[in-house]
Amino acid sequence: MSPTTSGSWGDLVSRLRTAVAAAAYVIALLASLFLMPTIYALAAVLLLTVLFVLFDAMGNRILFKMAVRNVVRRPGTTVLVLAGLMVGTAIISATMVVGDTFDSMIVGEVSDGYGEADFIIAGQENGDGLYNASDVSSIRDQLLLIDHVDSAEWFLAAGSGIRNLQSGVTLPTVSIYGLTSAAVSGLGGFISTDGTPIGVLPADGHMFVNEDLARILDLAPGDVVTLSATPSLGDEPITLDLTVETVVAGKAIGGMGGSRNVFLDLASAQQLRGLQDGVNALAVSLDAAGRESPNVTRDAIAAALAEPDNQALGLEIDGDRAMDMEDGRANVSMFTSLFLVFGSFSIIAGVVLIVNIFTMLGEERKSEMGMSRAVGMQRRHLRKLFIYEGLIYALATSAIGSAVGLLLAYGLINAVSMIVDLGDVAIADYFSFTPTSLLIAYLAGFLLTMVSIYGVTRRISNMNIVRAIRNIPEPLRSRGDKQAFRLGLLLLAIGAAIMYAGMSSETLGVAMGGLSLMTMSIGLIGRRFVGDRIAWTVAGLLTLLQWMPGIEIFPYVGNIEMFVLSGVFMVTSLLIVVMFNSDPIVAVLTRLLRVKGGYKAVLKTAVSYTLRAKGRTAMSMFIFGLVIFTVTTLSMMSGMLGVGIPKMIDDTSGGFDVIAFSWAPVDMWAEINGTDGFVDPANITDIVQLTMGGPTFTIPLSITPSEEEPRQFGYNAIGVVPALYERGNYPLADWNRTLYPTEKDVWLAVQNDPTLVILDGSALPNDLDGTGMSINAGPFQGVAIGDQVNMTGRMGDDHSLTIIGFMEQSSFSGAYMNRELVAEASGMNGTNLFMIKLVDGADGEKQSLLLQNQFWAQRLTTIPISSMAQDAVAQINGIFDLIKAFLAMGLIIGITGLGIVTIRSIHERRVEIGMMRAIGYTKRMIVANFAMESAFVAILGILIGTFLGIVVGYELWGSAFSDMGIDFMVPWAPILLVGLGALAATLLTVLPAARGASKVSPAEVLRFE
Amino acid sequence: MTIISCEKLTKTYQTGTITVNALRGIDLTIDKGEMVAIMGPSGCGKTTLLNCLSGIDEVTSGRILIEGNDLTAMDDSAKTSFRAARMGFIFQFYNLLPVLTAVENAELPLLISGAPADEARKRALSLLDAVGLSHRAQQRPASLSGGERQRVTISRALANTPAIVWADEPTGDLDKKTSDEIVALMRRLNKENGQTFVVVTHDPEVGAKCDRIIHMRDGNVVNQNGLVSDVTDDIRQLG
Repeated sequence: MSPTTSGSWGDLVSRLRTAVAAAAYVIALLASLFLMPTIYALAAVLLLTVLFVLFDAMGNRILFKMAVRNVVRRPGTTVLVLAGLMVGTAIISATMVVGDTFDSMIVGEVSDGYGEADFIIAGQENGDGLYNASDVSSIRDQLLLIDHVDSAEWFLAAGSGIRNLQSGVTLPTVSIYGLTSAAVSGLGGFISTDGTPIGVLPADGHMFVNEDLARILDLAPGDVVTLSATPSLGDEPITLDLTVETVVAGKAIGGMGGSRNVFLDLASAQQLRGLQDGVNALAVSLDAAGRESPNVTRDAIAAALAEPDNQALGLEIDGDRAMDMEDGRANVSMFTSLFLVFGSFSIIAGVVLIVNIFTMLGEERKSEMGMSRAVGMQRRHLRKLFIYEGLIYALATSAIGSAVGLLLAYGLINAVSMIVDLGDVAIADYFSFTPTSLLIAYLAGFLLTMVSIYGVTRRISNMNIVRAIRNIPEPLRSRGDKQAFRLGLLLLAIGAAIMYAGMSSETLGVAMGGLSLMTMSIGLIGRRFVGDRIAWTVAGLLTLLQWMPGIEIFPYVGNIEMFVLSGVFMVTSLLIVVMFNSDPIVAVLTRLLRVKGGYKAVLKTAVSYTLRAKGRTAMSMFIFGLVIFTVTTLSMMSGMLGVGIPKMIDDTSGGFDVIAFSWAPVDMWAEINGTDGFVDPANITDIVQLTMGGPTFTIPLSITPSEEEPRQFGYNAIGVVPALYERGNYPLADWNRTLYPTEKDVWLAVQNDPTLVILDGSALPNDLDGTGMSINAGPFQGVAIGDQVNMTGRMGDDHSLTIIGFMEQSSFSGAYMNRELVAEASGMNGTNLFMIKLVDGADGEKQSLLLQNQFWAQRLTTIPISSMAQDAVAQINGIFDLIKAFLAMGLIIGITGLGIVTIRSIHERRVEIGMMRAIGYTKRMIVANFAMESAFVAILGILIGTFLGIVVGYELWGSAFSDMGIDFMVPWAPILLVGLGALAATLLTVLPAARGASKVSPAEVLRFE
Repeated sequence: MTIISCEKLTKTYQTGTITVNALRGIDLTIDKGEMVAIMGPSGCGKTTLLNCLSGIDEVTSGRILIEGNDLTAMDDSAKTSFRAARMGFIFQFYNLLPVLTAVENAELPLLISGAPADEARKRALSLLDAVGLSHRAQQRPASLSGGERQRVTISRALANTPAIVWADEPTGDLDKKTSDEIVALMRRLNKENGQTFVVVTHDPEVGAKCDRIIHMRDGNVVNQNGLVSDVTDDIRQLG
């Protein structure tokens, strides 16, 4: 260590050395960040930081030796520190690994779905996308001339019902692919489930099935199935009996996107579709270089399709492997962002815990540090001492945290796999992680720990020597304290700058954050004039008010980050108000709470210590408050959705139990009652039979002027019959009340007039204010009563429709109009949409399966409403429970932190404890005192978090759920469970320490001779 | 009338591997209403004797009678209750609870004993008035001077109207003027209320103001009616 007198030569050399090393560090850091690939840059940042600190340590060997010995001198404390510091890293690591897994899932699913194909070309010829193979063979030849295109083969894709003739099991929809030999070889061929490559088509009268379909239908080679397809919606089904030749592995070959696939020769598929020469998709595969960088090839293909000779065909790139992968990754990144947002609460709690722990270490060593300063150690030497120690902890805890995060992610992914229905996707099979992610987590945890420690060391190193040696607390800052005033001015300036930046970029979170910093600064500035209590109370109340429901300061829209910001600022500001008004609170509480005998004294000291020892109490209370706030808000959302979603689904059902849809027309009621099928007519009390098609709708630019081109999409067109509105319960949210006095008038109007239409409720979406998210938004959003939209039928016939009403329900999508118009536009001459009412007590799921089996040839798909509601609620609850479990880690941090504070408190107050025992506190009263202190912190934090969570939950309800007809509710059961659980865990954690406190011998601590 | 007596009192404790015989068979008596100083050189066992006589510490052997009650026969809980009811304590470093105000610190023993809150407050305020601190009742220890803190400690010690007040170096952390004021206060309260004061001190001027001095050396009582000069000679010789 350099000589202790500042200004001496040795000291100057030391400072110069550090400055040069710091400059070199910054330059090397910037160079690696800008010049190296990401993973190397991250590794370089870590290495450079460690080297810089170690280089500094080499010039301060005695300090480094002290740091190392401090780490090992008390193993129990070291373990506690390691456990506390690694939590933030674990959460970051878990989030990164979850992201990696989802990424792996997307890549896997897209790759599996596309096989060897990179693009699928398709069009809208004749409205059904079918082309004569001979007419489009030139397209193939043209595309083969483009660089990097390996193969381009036409095929026919169709949907079909299927029945296993051995077992009778049916499915209403499987994907049929009719291929040529060239297509099979050009797209890489098949692989059977035993690993044998297959480069040829199935034999005549035979088919391949993929393993998912084989598993579901219990198919094996040699089994015979019947396929049933309809050439177009509304046609009579065509059936074909085929034998299973082989079960092939995976999902697909060459861009066949379904998960339950049947592969035939092209002629058989055409026969099933009633075609002579029809194809409807062209699979294009690229070589390795093309797949690596597909953009140029994509542009060349698009250009070829747009050439004048080809334009009339209307072909375009319909499936794009690279884009699908990119879109999939973008969607997944939203999910991982959600985890990171909720995890950030626990990360914040982790940072506060780091500060708590290092403050504790500083307090424990106060007198020895005071002695070190007395004999000549500079303040910067004390800081270096802690930084060297912090480096050792950071290196170890980041590694431990990254590993723990990996395990946590494994648990989370498996939980998601069990709870969330992702169809046939088994996400647990895709569990994976990348070295980059672990390195990012390690680095983030390392830097988080080091920065937090550095902040604490600055405070510790500024202690007064005499007070440190005698272990006397630092005095409170006086009102005239200039440093606090200057800090307040700085905070005001920073807040103003941030607010200005937010206003310039119209970002709500930034603007509100800046404004909150400004109002908080009132506490630091105002205390000089009016004292701590008034200044901080005003600061806290003003900050809290900004975030309360109904207060809009900036007219901008925020996203999910608003949730985090509102939580942090609301909890902090309410905490400040409580802590700085502790005296009246203590007085009220000690009057209100009736305790017997000597426990009055215990209550008084416990409550006083909690509220008047502001610093350490506030940190623990903040963690509790923040986590409980989030848990409460989530509980409220899931509670309201848990009630609201079934209600919405019930509204969708219109009072029916099953909704079913077929490809071929069928008179279901007649069939059920007239034939001996799977369904017992006694179980069915009513069937409303409707006609549905899937034409194309266009919204003109006059309605959506902000869009670049008219919005065009396929949507259900449903023909209205009296039974729909007479026997079904489908209230309207809004309609043209001038022309139609009652809802029935509206229904009658669309029933009779083919120029009118009613839209479902998704045309009126609910935005979750401040989150950037919408619930139930549909493609018609933005239209209004009286607007005209265009419908194009399958033969290209255009129809203009005027909107005269919106339904309340938004789940049963449809444009409800004149039945004849639907039949004309879709070609559906008959009924294919069924609203089925069952007898009371009938099992909806079972009856649905029976209906599917009976009408498999018409490819009937059924939706049992009650199980749909149950599944939806189970999924929602499952997702929210997962997030709450993630948040529970933050609660664990809070409880740990409280335990540390209690241990610290007991150690510092040993002499006080001796005095308390001397003047009459029994051992039991000492235990009660410390237990009560911790319990009080936990209770106050829980109350603050619960109150604010309910407030925010109310705001969410008002902005989104109330319009959906969902009533406001507070799910007290889960909220109380979490709160009481946290309290119980707190007491269990602190009781051992409290018992230890009761064993303090008064004689030993009071001995002064 | 004897209020405190002990017979053959010994106290031995371990410090690492070393056995320390802090008290070596002490016999002494103190009468009611006396203000007695226990004096002697460092390490002679003064505080240990005070701690044992007050029940804060366990004895190795011997018997202690306080107001005729055998303290050595009581368990920890009984001793604690007895202390709360019949004893007051004044410590060198005050040992006030920093988060409580002066009046709250003073009323603490009354609350421990189960007195109603308003009665406890009334008594505490009257005691603070008696020691000249009623104008500082709502201040916390951090805002009080050393002398003021010691007055609060004295108020707390007298809150339960104890029979005995034990004071361990009550002026050890104070300047001369404040020390004199505190000792004078203790003397006045002793005379007015008839409470017995047992004061451990190394300050001869404090000893001189007491009724008598119990002189200790090496864990023994060498003189129950010692002179200040004897003690100061001893201290000078032995350090």
